Amino acid sequence: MKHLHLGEFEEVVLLTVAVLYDKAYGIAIIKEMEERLSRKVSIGALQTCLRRLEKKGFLESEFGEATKVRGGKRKRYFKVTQFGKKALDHVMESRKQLWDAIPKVAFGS
Amino acid sequence: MKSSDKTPTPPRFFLKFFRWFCRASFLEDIEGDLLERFEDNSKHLGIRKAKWLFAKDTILLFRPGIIKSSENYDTLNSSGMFKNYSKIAFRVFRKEKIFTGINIIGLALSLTCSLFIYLWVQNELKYNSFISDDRVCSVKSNSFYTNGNIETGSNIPAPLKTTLEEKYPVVEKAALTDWANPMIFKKETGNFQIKGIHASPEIFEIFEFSFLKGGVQRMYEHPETIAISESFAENFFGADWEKANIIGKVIYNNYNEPREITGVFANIPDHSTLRFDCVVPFELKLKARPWLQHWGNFASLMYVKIVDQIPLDEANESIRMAIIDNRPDEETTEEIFLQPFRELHLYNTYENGQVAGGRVQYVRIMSMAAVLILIIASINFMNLATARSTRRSKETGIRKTLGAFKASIRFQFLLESIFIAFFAILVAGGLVIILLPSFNELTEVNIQLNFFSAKFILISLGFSLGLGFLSGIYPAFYMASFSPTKSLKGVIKHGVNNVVIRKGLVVFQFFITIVMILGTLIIYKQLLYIQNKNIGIDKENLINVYMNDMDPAKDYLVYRDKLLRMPGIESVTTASTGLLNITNSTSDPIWDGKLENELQEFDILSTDPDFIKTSKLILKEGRNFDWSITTDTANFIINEEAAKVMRMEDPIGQDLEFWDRKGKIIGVAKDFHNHSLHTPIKPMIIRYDMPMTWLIFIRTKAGETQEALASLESLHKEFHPDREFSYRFTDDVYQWYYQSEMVVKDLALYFTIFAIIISCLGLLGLIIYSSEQRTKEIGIRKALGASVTSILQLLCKDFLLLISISLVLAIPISYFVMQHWLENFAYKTNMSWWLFAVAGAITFVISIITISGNAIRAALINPTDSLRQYE
Repeated sequence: MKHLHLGEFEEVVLLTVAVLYDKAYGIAIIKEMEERLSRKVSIGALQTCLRRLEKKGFLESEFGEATKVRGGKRKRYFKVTQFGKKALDHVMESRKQLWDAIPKVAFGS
Repeated sequence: MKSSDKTPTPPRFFLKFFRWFCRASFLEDIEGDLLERFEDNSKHLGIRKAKWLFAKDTILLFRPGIIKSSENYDTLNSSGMFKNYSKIAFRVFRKEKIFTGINIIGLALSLTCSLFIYLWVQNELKYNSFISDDRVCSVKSNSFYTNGNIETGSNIPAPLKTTLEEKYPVVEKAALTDWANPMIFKKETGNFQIKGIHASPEIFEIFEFSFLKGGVQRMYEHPETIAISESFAENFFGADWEKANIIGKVIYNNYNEPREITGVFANIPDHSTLRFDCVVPFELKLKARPWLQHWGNFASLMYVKIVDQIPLDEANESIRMAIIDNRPDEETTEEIFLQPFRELHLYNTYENGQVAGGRVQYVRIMSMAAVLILIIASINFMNLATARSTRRSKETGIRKTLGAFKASIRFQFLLESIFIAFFAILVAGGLVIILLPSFNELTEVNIQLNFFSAKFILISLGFSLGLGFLSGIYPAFYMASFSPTKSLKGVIKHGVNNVVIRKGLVVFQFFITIVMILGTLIIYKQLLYIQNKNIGIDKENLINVYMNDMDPAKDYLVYRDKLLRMPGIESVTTASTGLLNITNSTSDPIWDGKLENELQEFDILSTDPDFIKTSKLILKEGRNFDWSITTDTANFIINEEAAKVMRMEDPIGQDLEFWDRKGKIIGVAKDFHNHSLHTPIKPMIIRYDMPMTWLIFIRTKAGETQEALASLESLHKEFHPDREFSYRFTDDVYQWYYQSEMVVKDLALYFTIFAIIISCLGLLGLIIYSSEQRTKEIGIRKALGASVTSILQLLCKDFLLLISISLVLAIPISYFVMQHWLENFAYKTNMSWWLFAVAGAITFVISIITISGNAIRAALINPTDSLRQYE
């Protein structure tokens, strides 16, 4: 299942997009990540990741309405596709398998 | 930076840059994100921080994935090759982290130095640059003395103005001025003190200082007037002075004399040697001090504007004899010449009656240092690149077999060095930003830099591109010259030439470094000599204040008696000039045995009988002035030098006459340094003449400076309630005379440290490489029984030999260079042999520390490991 592979950052971004549902655009994603994960994210890092995910088919996007703020520029809203959902499931699945496979004694009790 | 009370805007340069590189389809929403974040940040973190973050975000966006694809150009082969070169370059950088690191750090340090020097030089060149041609000049005078000395000064007699304007057609306009002084005006809320000059109204036409309100016309007709600067108006009448209609308004100075405001002029540029905030007509000064009208009184300054289209030489020739030809009363030797106003800041020393240089010398030295430091760093790059060229020889071999031209291989390697230089400038830019405040403090300038400005970015890019070229050009040619058959067979050997060049470059690099070390040591030694020099009077615990409005013969005596009873005060005296640089002089004295037509300049110091006690000057023979002998005011104390130039075996009791006073020499004082150590001690005559004094010198009790200052301040309030209390420590004044040297001393130290670090980085690179190369050789030697020491010797010998050669070359050169610098001082330290020994020791110790770590590691490797290594 190589094509379902997600990097750690990609996974976090994908999840955040899912969390924000229909409000997921650049700055909102960054803020959400900063708040929930207290993790500094640059616009550059996020945008490259978003575009890569879109190219792989995990995300789709469309422009919102233009507003007065942000220099009148439109926002681009991202949505997790079915395929993206599948990738996330896959990640969880594989993690879960690993967790289940840990013998009880390994972490003590 | 401009005020930004409107909505903040992000740095334009970065916005443009972003729009340029970003993919069209991403542009709108990412730009929106950037702007949204910027708006957010500027609200919460301030505009400055927001701009920073904006710049940072933009730069972080500059990555594949976001950058516009170059699809449209992809059909061109050269673009494909460019991609390939870049890819290979980055792979090489990643693979050879140490060497890339050494190169980037070395180049970054050198770029930091040169950027700083560039900023400093620009700042120096800015002085007086608001005058664009050589028509505006300052008038200087040369006095010729019998002993052959020519003294150049800025003081001229006041009648020269009318003479020049009327009789010399080359002079279009002339203006007299005096030195800027604090002037005090009465304001409703109290007193207002500001820097002002007396000047002929023509000064505004000569310098084309523009008026915001009013003008200068009325100053010609009416002397009790004043023109004020914008900042004067703002401070005096408040920020909305423009509405207050102040033209024609009369203000009063601290003597209650009226001054009618005729105009408000735009503030004089910061970078100007002529600075003032108000101008009172010179006419008024002449009225109050009629003796200034005398041809023999060299006490005014003058600026002229010469007629257009006249070369300076010609103008100079025509006015040269203006004083001699027009002074009616007596013989005189003063010739005058014109120095363009633009040059005044940088060319401020004179020799033999001509402009000799001055500050410009330091500008040149610094620029030279910048270039040398860049060269040292690019030598690192060249050496490392050529030394490691065998590693890339297969690559070039294959490229060539596949049809690459030499030119394209050169381009490839040049590109790599430009990439490195580009990384270096990013680091250097960061260092400049961090270090700028300390640099300003060190050089006592105030350089403000807008790092986002396109100009600064372009200059930085220019620097890095230039440096990339400089360091990459030789390796590029060298690499391109490999023969493919040989390089693919792996038999590439460094040609003898290349090895010689590399060694030569190392020698050159250390040569520069050692010269810098020696230079710094000698500058330090000279300044230490200056600090510790016994100048003949005790400059510690000596404070001077101004007599101000006191009458020296009356009020002062009251002041003195009060002061002497206050805590912290040991003794007090008066003087007509600062002691460290006597500014009064004359060639009038007549003595027995003076030759006919002999012209000899004497410094004149007018003071009172407490001078010797207060200054701790040593009286060699004879006696001091006495308060109780009224006729002592006609007598003189001379210094040893004066006795010498007057050829007096036994000066005590001899007659001396000048300025209509005939008296006897009653004492001979030991020479003290009556000028800075740049010039020899001058013959000097001390007179007991209190009316001429305007400075008060106070000897404080050792360790009671604070008490003494408190005493002085409270007494000042009593005697001069109108004036701000100001004072100067004589030892501060002493330091002030060596200000440029002090700055150069600090700069030299830092730049030398940088040079040492950069050279050692290069050395480190070479030793790492050569021990890597010789791993197998060392293994075999060790297996055959070589000791660690002998291997260390093997590795270090070559380098130490090169450094020794540099040392041998550097010693005579620095000797001559520094000899030349020391010529600036009449009193100088000697360059003892141990200085050279110290410089040598520093170089060797630092180099050995640099190379030994790596060499020891190489020598300690277990031969089984090194010999088993497979590549």
